[in-house]
Amino acid sequence: MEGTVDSRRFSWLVFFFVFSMFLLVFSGNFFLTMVGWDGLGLVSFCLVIFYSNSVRLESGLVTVFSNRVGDVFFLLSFLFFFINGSFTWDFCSFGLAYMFVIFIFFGAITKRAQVPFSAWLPAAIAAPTPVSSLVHSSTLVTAGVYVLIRYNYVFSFFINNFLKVFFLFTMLMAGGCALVERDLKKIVAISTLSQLGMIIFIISVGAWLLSFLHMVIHAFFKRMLFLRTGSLIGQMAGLQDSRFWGNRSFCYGSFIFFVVSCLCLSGFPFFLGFYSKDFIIFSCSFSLGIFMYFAFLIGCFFTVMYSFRLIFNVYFLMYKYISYYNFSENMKFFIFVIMLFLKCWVLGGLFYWVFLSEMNIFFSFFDLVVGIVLFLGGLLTFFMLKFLYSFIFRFCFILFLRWKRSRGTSFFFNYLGHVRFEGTWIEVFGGSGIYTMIFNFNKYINTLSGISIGIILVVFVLRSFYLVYF
Amino acid sequence: MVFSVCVLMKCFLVFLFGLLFGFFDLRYFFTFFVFFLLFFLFDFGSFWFGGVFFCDRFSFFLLYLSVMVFVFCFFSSLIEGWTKNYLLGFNFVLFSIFFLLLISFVSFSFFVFYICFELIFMFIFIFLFLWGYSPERVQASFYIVFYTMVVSFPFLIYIVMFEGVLFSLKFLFFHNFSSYWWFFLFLVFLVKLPVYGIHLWLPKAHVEAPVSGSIVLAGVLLKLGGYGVFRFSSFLLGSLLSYRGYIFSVGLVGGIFSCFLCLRQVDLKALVAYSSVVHMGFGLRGLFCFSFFGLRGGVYMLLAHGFCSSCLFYLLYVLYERFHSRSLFIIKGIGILVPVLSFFWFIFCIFNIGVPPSFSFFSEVFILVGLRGISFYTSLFIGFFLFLSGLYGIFMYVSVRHGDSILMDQKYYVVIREYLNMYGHFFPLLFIPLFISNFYL
Repeated sequence: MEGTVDSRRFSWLVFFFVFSMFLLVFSGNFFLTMVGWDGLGLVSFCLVIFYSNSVRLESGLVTVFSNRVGDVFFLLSFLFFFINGSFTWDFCSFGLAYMFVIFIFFGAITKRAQVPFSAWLPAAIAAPTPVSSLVHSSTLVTAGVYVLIRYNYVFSFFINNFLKVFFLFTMLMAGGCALVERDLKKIVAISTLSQLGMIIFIISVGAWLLSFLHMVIHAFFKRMLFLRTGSLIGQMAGLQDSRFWGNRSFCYGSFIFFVVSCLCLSGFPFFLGFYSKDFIIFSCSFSLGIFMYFAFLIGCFFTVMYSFRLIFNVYFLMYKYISYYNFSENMKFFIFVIMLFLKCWVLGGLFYWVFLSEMNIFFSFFDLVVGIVLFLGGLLTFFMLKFLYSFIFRFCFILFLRWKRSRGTSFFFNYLGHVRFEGTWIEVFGGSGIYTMIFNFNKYINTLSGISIGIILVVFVLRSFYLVYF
Repeated sequence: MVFSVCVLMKCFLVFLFGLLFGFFDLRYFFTFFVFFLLFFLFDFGSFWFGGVFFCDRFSFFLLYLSVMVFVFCFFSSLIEGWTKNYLLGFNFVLFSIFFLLLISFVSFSFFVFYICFELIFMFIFIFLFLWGYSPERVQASFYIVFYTMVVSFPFLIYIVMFEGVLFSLKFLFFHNFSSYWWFFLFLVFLVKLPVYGIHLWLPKAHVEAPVSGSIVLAGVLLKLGGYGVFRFSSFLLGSLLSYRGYIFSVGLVGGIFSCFLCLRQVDLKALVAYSSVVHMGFGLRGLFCFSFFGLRGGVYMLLAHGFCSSCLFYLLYVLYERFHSRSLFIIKGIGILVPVLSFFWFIFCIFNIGVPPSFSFFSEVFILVGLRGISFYTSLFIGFFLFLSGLYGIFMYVSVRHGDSILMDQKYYVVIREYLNMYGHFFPLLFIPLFISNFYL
């Protein structure tokens, strides 16, 4: 897909991205983790601004500054490592854990784009599509989740209702926004956001293994979804606005894979997503209050709804594009997609067997019923979407935190720093103030008499020495 | 045994790095590598030589810094120094600054240090005045001279007053001068390491100076201030500790103001000059902690800043040679014109911010830890500070890389001299952290 300009730089950037992720995941020392963490943020910035464009630049800046906030929190958590005496995670004592956890936690939150810091994820779709598929489905956003899951014993006391509400809110908000977005890639990015909200919600409930499983599984089908979206966008010659899409069902390859990945996302029985999602719903049924459980179910509804909205918008409506049209899909790219597809279809049982059977989690009929009810309920609600559209539109767009321009802030500080202090007071006590003083003094002296200023100064200095010493 | 294996592994890592970045001949890489290893592979400890000179680990670091900075300085001004202005003494001025710097870093007595210190700034004045680029250099050079002179006369009086006591730099000598004169001892150095209130000379000097002057100024001369604080602080620890809070506040608030000022600069050189103020404010806070981590954080900040800022100035000069302007509005579009330069801009902008695995990152972490010993909650303010640092660094990179370039119809190559210079800055910043464990400082 990217056989175009500057593929060498692109390959290097992707290599550094993977390398940073590798460092982050496989390092026991916090310094190396920090290298990976910072590297991830910066390399993703480079990838987002890969094409030099003002829109992409803005998205890139949002990305890097949000990541920088997370980096700052991580950097501050170095303090706690120094207090503790060791940089490995294994020796975190619970005495220091409280504040330390807050810092790491907030750092991780920015990376995975939860509510206060969620503006960068939809903005970062400006990266080239393979990057989006790598970054926004599997790696960058899971960096924070990985930190939380791997060291979950440190965070175990941090579970409380306030946080659950926070993450649920992210999930709902993102789901709602995905229902009203126009840009196709943005919908997929927002769906990642919503799934991440779900993942962290599950961690805060306590079932970290399930959330890890869901993270891994989600990576598979989201990546497939991104790849298919990318090839579809390529077919439409780069047009991402979904109002022009419709009736693409004559490209069967994309159709199958797209639909399968959407079905996985919604938790269709016995696809890959089912194995994680239904277990999550099952475990939530018995450990949450009624209100939160129903909010969570509404979040899952949203998932089904927006994934079907995606399918319908792309494949099933009236044809809206240009009249004379010819396209082809490159067979080389199909191999990866087919591999992912097979995994989506086939590997569910494997994941179950590896991860969950040891914990004696079994399927129950209740599970299946809940899953099917969700799925059908989501479908039905989707068809009634027209009636709810305006309500959702207004509600969700306003909630979505946009990154405002910071010109006001910098103007204020420029005024404060430069104009009020530097331009004026520091100059008064510094260079030009003293110069003006001397200049005026000199003029005054010269008006008094014909004595030159040099002699006066010499006399003055000698007198002061005399006074000091004797 | 384990130590030597670790050291060998680190050397091998560095060697691999050199092989990877095959921008140029391996001969040049080896030059830098061997010279670097000479300084950082072995811990020479503190030693006397020549009967008159004394060198300890901090001086050793700064000697390395001054030698490297002068190498880059001469690389950068090859045209100006050896052809155009040879007879006028361009090289003479630079060499004499170098000589005085070396003496000041190994000097034993306060008096010799002071003389070298002041003479260096006299030479910078001459340098700026004779070879600056625009008529405003008059004001700039006068600012340097008067800022230096005004604070150095009280210092001279101080030295003369306490004559019997001060002709030695034995730094384990605590003496409680319960008068307020200690302030004048430090004011000299606080002006050089520019503390926010008395920093006005720095942006002016940088904007008007030619590239060698900027490199020397940012690379080593600001560190003279830090070196002076370090040397003289053990002497006056009691008085300093009571007034430490003011210095911390000035460093923090000044740093934050300078961060915002960076974002509003139009002249790119002034931007880098204000980032120098930010970094030195940070380093000052580290130095005034007087704890294990704080002192080392301050020292590492001085070193890291030396390499980082001097390379940024050199990169600006590379662009100045092509665009013939330093303005933010004119230098644009490097990402398309000369992508290699945009790579180096990226590297040095992020090293400026403090991104691992660079040396500046370690310095910031150490300063953070040192400040925790003072006050835990104040050290959290550094988070705000670090985020703002990130702002101007990325802003600088992005403003240079993106945009419509005015030079679209020519191909621009980067010559080997420029590669060497940039690589030579890159190399120590990446690899000093590996070898820092060999040193006790």
